[in-house]
Amino acid sequence: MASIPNGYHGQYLRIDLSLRQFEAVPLPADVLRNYIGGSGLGTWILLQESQPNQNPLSAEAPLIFVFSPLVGSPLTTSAKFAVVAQSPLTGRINDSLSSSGFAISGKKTGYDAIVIVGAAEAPTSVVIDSLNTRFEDAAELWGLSSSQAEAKLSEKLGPKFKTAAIGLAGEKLVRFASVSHDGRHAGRGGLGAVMGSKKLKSISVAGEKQVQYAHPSELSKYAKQLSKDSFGPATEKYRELGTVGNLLTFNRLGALPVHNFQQTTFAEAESFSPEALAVSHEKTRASCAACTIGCEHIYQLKNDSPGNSKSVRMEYENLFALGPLCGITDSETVFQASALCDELGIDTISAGGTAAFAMECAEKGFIDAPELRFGNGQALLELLAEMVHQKTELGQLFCQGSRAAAHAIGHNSLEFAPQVKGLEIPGYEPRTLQTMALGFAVGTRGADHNRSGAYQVDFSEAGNRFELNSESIGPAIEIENEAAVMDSLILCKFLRGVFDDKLASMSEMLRLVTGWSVDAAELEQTARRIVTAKKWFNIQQGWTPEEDVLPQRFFSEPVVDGPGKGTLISESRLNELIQQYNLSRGWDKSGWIPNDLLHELDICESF
Amino acid sequence: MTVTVEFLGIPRLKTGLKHVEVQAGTVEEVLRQVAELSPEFLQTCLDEDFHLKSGFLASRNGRDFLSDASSLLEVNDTLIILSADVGG
Repeated sequence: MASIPNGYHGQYLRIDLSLRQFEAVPLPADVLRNYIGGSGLGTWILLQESQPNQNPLSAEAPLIFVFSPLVGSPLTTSAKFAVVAQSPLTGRINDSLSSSGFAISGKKTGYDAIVIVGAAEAPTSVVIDSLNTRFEDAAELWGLSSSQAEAKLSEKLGPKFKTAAIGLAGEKLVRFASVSHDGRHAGRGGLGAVMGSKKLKSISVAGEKQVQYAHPSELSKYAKQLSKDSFGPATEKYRELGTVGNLLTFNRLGALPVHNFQQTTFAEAESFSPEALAVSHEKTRASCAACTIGCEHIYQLKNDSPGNSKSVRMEYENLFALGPLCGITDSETVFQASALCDELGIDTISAGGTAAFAMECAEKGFIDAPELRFGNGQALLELLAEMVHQKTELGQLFCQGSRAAAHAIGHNSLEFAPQVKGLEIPGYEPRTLQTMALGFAVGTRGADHNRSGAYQVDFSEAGNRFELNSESIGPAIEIENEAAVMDSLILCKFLRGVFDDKLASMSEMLRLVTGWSVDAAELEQTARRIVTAKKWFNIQQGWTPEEDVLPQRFFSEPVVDGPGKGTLISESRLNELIQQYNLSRGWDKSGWIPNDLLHELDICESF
Repeated sequence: MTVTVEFLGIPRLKTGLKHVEVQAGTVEEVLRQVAELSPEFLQTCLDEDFHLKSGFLASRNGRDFLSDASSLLEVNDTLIILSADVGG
């Protein structure tokens, strides 16, 4: 038997909920080196465990929790895990990351990943430790929020068990339901609904199994320096202001999506500034386990939320999506909406995007909802709850996201449904951040700021962000590659500013943990493999080039305000750049992957 | 020539200012004057040559990003000093 690389257990746990059976499946050393862990390894396992053109909510569709070689090491921000599956919102690959104790305890079970297939007949919790895996009745947990379920399981199993769970939205198969742990969420793409379709309420993990490190003393020294650097000026903004500080910047640069992407600036933006929020609401700071950055800013609610939350974590994305995107001017209402999303277990970006789309449809008279108007906070709160409970026509219409709702509504509303491949667009206005527009169009996950990161090109002197530039493709791919490696190691992207040479730094960390003589060039090839493997999965599930497109609004409605007033995206130019991007990736100009590239990258050619 | 300087992110936190007007013709002249107003801004945001450190950007009127400190400004220009890192 081949030796297991340092940093790994060399196997994943495969659980069949239909049969109530489990087995350990070996992970070949070359696969671990080729895909690392997290998002990359999850993609490889997904390819192995999936069937072409599968239904993401079918029993057969796999749901994968993946750890990484760095988890449990002293490297700051490495306590992360990936949840990977075919998204029920998009039908395409979805890898969503989350943080903290579940990652550390999960790795200690002795597995590099946990794969769930099949479906239970009744609500079930899975409990995994180093010695055993057991299936427990979750009838008493069904209907609870994820945090309530976590608390009950912690009380029952003891604090050493860490739990990832779904809320009501996952149980009711809301297509943008999240998987949650410790108040943090693998939010995007509706993987909570995949879990719900399997009647799996929760997974609890604990263990004592440790991995070996190739160069422990060097690793410790490196980790100390990284922690020190991570506490420096490169991360001060996240620590002192939080990402909510982005909102004013985006507003000033005309890059803030407002009123469902009808405006790029928000007159009341100053009321969402960090200093205004600090005055209006008490605030505390926190961090994920094993993190020295400490970016989390937790605001006290003035009134308990519908689910009795006292506080809420705020980031730029939930602030923009439930605030300016829906025209909400009152910060307490935005905080209440965000807390409600957490309690129900839904992704705040898709929830806000879908709600904003609903408001525009209502204002245009395409649906009968007289109260649903931009700026009506009470209507927003009610719609969020309705989308999960699905007891009203509105709730049933919008619980599958904006794309599905647009198909049902008609009136060419798909032209302004704020999504790409079904995934609602995060807080980056494509017309005034046109490299990001390209990133959204080609993203394998859909409209996505975490895998592409092309906005970094727009926020630089490198290009004109109001135009599509072919010179931006190279830097955009470079950033996408760096993200693919970071999401596989897994490290927090807020460390970006700490590294002079990201791939070189990441290869050094991987060398210290595994002992592999890996360098930046190998990691670049690894990134190419991971990005292409994701595309390969999508092709197996029916992807066509026509999906790589933005909503028509961005081609036909000029920006009405701000520094980008009058700006449009040229559809023909975007198509040219998509072709150039595809060719730069080694794909054909339409985005299909040549067989010789699949061979070169060691990507399996068939299931 | 009067130039309006706006601050966002860490530059706003360090200066304690939303905006200020200065007499300047280039980006560097603006930064030197802001440094005189705010030692914390100088310490956090500028290097020894009075150029913006990595992690900070200057935008002219919210449209162009200016990395060259000798870039000339024009009458009625607004220079926005902001934290570069976005995301989240």
